[in-house]
Amino acid sequence: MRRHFLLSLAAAALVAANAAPAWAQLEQPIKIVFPYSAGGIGDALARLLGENLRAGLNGQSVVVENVTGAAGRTGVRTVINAAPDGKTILLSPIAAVAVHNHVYKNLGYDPLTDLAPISQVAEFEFGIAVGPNVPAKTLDELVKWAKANPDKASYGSPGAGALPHFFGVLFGKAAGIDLVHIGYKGSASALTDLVGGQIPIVVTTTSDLLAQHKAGKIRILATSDSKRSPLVPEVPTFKESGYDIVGTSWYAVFAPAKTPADIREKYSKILAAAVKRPEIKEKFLTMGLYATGTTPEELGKIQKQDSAHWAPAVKASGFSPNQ
Amino acid sequence: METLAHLAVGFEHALTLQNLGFCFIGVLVGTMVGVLPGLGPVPTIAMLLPVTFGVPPTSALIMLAGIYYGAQYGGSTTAILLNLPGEASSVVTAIDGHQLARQGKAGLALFTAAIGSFFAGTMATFLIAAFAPALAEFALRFGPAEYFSLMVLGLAASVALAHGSVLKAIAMVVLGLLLGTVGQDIYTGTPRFNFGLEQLVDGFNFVAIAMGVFGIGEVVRNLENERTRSAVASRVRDLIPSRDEVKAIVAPILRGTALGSMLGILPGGGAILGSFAAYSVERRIAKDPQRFGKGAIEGVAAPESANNAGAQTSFIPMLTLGIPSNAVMALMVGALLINGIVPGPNLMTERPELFWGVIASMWIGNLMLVILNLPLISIWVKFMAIPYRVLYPGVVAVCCIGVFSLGSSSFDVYVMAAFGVLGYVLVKLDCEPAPFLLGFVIGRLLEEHLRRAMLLSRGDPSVFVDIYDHPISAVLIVVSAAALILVCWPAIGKRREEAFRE
Repeated sequence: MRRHFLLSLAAAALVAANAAPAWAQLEQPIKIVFPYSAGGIGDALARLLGENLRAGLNGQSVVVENVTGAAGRTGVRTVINAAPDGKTILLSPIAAVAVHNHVYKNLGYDPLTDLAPISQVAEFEFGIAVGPNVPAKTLDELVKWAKANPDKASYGSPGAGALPHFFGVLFGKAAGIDLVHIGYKGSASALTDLVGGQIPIVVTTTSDLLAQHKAGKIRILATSDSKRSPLVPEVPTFKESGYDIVGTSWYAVFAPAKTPADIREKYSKILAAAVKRPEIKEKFLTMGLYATGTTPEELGKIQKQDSAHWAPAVKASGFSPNQ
Repeated sequence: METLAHLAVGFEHALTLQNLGFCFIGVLVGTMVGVLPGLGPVPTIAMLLPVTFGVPPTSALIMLAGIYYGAQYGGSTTAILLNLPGEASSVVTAIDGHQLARQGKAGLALFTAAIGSFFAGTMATFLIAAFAPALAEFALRFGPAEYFSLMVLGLAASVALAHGSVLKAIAMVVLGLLLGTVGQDIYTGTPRFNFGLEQLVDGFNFVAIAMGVFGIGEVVRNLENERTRSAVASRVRDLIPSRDEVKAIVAPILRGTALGSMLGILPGGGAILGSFAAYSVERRIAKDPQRFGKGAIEGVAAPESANNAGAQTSFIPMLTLGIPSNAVMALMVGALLINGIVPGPNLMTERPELFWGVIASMWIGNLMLVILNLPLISIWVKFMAIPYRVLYPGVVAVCCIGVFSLGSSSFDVYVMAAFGVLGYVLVKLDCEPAPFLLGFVIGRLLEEHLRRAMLLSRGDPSVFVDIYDHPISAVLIVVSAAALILVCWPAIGKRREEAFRE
């Protein structure tokens, strides 16, 4: 009996020691707040960046905290209200830091001024895919199909109020068709219904569609960046297909507004150098992310531009939860 | 024959010293987080994800999988000993398991749970090895209409969970359904019944509610008067069930395994329904349903087998299609992606050593869990001898930490406290908390799929009974109707008798 117990303890200690070598240090750890739950690309990215930040700061401990709730607003607010001493930073996709200000009327904060930029680490784009019940091979054929089958023309997205939802609205407007939006809880459940033929069209992150596309279960008809996706170079962009819409998303690191510039510069340099390393770049690519690694100034500019870019799409979607 | 060849490849990779080590660490950590109430596999795996960065992907997945099904083993421990289900799937285990523990049969209940889980795990592993692609195809035929009808069947069966008044059971289910509507409307984003609180935008957290109603409620109730607990059998040989007891658990384990395996394949909610369904079925077919809720061993054997079988088969969509069916699977997909592997329909042919290695490791892991858990039982049952004044402050503290770890939110801790009070009130009113929790779980899924099906059909309700396009849904609706009539018949019959007498 006792032997089992000791064995358990020993193994537990082993795991604990492996998991966070930095627990041994007494210094207050740097906290990377990720405003969504664990599981998924963004969370894995947060942990990957945490490892690199730790290495870049001579082993200073870095922990990732999933502060979840309210579609990312709770986590963003946590960071905005944190002490601006560089001990709390935010990793967020575009929505919570550049689009929520258009979606929610009484947000209570302005992500453009209440957050200070550190570095944009990666970009990614969206794709539109059709399931086994839709014969279309090109975007034009899809539009024809949708016009012929108005009672079937629905598209799924990973969630109401997520960027693919708004991008679908942009496409419907550009093509002059009426697509009914159906929100899911994440890409996975939307994909299950797409592969199973329950829903004809899904708009979501290209990398989420990739495996099914390669296996021939679904077809990606177009991707949303201005240039072709390196994941599926044979698939044309929306622009090439004759629909003048572009939309990309990204992950970036921010700090509370008053965080000193020298701390942000330091983190920015470490993160930018890390994501530009070839092995990280390659890792990113399998996750469907294109490594960027910008300076704080560049990120600030991108944040403003993209916030302005998405405003009309949000308005056109009619998605306006009264908070 | 082909299956055997594949399994041979799998065992070849799973039986290396390194992979055996990772498997062991996985199931050990899994057992520990399963035993600690509230602390589930999701935060644990997330925390351990960086460890897997430098590890070969097969080993990483073997360890993470071990944590997941290990937690299913551990989860029943506190449910039985302290009436504290740490996971949704062990809620029903608490009903009869804790009663058995009160009668001094904690060892028997834990033994049954372990053996049931092991058998279910073994069967489910072979099911995956032999039929994974076919089963995945079946899962894909479940669209919104089918899920809705499945949830309707779940509701119809939920009344069977109660062992008192049917009326109270229905009231509890409805209360659960209503509380499930709190939070953001997933199609329009409009927040409902949240009183302007941002913390309620996503609705109540299931784990916080379950631990409040069961765990905290139990603690509060025991503050009234310390109920006597029977002396416990702590020697291992006292734990071995008698011949009659073995006879009583064999059939429920088989039925639980079958039900859990089927429902576990369905992404989103299937695994939770497994243990509820298994319990309901046992109660329905038992010769004397009165024993349920008072310590029926079948009430432990069936749901525990079902939840472990479901935990194994829920790997099918991820392994065969690359589509994660829950948060734990999503984490595993993340671990694979970081290692440069894109899980998808081609995984089986491109990385056979990974695919079959993980499957083979599941059986090895289940064996390790049984060997690990049987001796631990005699340590766990000693918990029953700890005086309440020492035990309960510890239980409350661990609950608070566990609930806080869900989303780093102190609000969830308050929710747990409030539902602890509700749990106490419900017990005083002789209302069962299990139908309430089932209603809560089903309510959200019911609404999500009903509205999705209606959006897709442009408001035509006939999709649910369309035999040509949705045969599964039509069958489920018919079975639900039959189940409802069956439940209501005695009541109707009785009333007619009374009317005649007058």
